[in-house]
Amino acid sequence: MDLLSRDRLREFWSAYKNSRLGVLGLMILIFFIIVAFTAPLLTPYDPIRDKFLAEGSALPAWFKILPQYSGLPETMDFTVPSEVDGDGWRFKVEGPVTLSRPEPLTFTFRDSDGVGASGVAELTHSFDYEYSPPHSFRVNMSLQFLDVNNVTYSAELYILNPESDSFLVWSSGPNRRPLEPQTISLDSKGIPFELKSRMGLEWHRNVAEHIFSERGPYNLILRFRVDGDPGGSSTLTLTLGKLILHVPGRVHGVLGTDHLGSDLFSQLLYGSRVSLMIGVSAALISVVIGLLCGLVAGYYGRIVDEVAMRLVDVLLVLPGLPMLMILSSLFGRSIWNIVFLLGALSWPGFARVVRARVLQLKTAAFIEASRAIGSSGIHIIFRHLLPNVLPLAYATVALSIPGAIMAEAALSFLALGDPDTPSWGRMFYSAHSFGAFQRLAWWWIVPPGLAITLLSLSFVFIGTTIDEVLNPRLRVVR
Amino acid sequence: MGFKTYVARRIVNTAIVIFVTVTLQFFIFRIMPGNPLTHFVSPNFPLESRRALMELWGLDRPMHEQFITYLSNLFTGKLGISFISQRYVSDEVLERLPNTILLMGSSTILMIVLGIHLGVLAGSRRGSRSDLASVTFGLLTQGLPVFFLGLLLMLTFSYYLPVVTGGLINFPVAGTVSRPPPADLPGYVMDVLWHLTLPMLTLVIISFGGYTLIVRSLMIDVMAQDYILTAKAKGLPERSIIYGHGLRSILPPISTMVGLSLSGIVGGAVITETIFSWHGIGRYLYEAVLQSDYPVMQGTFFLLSMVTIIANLVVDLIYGLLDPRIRY
Repeated sequence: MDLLSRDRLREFWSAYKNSRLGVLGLMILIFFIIVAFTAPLLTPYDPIRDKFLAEGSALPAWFKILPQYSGLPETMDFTVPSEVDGDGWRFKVEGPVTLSRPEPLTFTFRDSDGVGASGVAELTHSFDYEYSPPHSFRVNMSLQFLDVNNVTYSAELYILNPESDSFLVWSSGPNRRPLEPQTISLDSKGIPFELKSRMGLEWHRNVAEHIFSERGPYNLILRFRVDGDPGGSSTLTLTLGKLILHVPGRVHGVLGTDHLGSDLFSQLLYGSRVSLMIGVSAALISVVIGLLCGLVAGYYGRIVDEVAMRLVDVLLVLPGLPMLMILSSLFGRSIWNIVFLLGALSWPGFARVVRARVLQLKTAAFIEASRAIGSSGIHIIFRHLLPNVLPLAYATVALSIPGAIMAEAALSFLALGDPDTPSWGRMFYSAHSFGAFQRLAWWWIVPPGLAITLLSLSFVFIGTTIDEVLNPRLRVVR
Repeated sequence: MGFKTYVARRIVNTAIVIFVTVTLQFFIFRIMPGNPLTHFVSPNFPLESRRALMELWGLDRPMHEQFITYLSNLFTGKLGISFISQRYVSDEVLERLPNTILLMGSSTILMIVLGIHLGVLAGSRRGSRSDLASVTFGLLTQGLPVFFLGLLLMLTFSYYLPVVTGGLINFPVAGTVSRPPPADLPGYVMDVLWHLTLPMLTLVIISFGGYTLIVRSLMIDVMAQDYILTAKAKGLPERSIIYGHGLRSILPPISTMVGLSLSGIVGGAVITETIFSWHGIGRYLYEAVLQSDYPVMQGTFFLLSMVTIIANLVVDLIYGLLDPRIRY
């Protein structure tokens, strides 16, 4: 049956929709297609490029319903703008220090008498922390010290907990030179040993857990101290940019995060694009090669047939996955190489089926007739043989997609896939290599597996149904 | 066609397949981007030893001479020297071969026995509950990736159940035998079997459903034949009709099916060996691919393809024995 005319298509559909399995398969497929197209609307994150959205291997956010997880920190990310009051800083000054500009915050120290005066500017910002202790936190802030004459200055950052214990987390040390605008990044995991021991912590202890061990109001305190040299006038101008405090959550999103803090749910959604794209294009390539090879070998026979069928024998017998592993590592692991290899390795079975059908058709009267009036081989192949073997192709496309999807997933699982492609196999790789099993993190392992299984099954169902409708005498399961 | 002619044809055909495979492999490793020499002589060797090795392997000679050396090396030589371990690939491979044969052999036998048994059962009782169950299961396993199944079994039996049952049910996460291995023979055998369980189950579960489906549909066709009706009319017991008349006549296509699925089983075994860190050829190939150890890649692939090609020959010969049209 040729599906290229509208009537034939309608006829096909009316037979197809009677199959419950076929309709189920189609519904699953449509679901995945919708997910693939709307992925950017369903999740705000990029599946691979957005890293450190939360702590690595964070739990899914809905775990907080359970009492034992209810206190876990969510990601806190706030910016203290460079201004006073409102969302910004409270400040107090000592000595000859004045607020010279409110935005961006600029303080000026001026000791024109040269008596060696000292000045202090202390900025405070309050925030609430309402969770159990986090694993880490980060601070980014930008500072500049200009107009530095005859002074020694230092800057320090403290965190004050609800019990009013203060923790020094960063200190610039005394300095006498100007400092061009620069961003200071501070990671709680990299706090020097000296500061740790001042907090009374041993070297291996976690700073973030220690500082944020209480719930309640916290204060960030930035303290600048300036000492003017005696004799001669001394000046300093300090400009403060915005400060960002980032506390990565231990819960995140629908499915938590992977070991790099990327969003697993967005990897799951975007994975449907990869699998659909790879599965469909590899299957199309394979069916086209199989069709051509089967047609040519079957029609021309003799040496052409002999060579083609020996090649088919070889490709059918060689272990496919090991071949794929070796070839993709030799050719390079881009996604299109893998698609091409998948298509180029999986056509032999179909070529055999096509060849067998062509051998049957070759003796039919209409082929004999066409040959008798002098049609060329190419004309006969494409005009007469192709339409008759095409019905075999529709089902084969659908039935070879699951193999391609699973082969790509297997390659990615083995870390031999395209490293820049968010595929479901890659999620398995990260789960297997970075401790999801030790954590019993089923939400990291089961969803991509179910997705591959469902999508593959949908094509199996669709292919089986197409086969039953188009090739009633060939159907396997009756 | 007599049986002898059939055997002779099969052997010639196998020889051609082996030749084509070996030739393809020769060219694939030599048309790769970059200097082919760098694929076979480790860049880490000092210059003189590199030159000596190239001369030893004839990599400086013309292509056709290289091809002949390559052939004789494959079938008589040591398959080259591993870049990583600096040992002969053949030594490394022979050390791992028994493990791979143990895993693949035991699971292949188990999946064939299970698949045929359930297929016959389902096909001879069409529409029964067991028929529906095996068809559903068979269809479901068509979409199940082998690594997902392996990881699920591992998550359940090696991580989750040990926690839940307090270590009562506890299957190993990795390895072929405990370190150090048990000293006594029965203990050693039990230990290997204990390690073998999960990887073998993975391969069996993933494959026998497909076999069941095929055997079932063959069985349904056969049971509708006239001679089965005759057998029934003669009043033969059901058992002998199903197994003596039904199953016996579909054994040849079953053997073809087994032959065609072998290359898939090898692929599954590579993944399973990798997941369960099974000390076999499949994992060795995987490690070689990760480390770009070309001599090992070439040697292990050669061996894996020989295993499937020879197994296919055996299957073909069994087919010849089973199909009376060929035997007489």
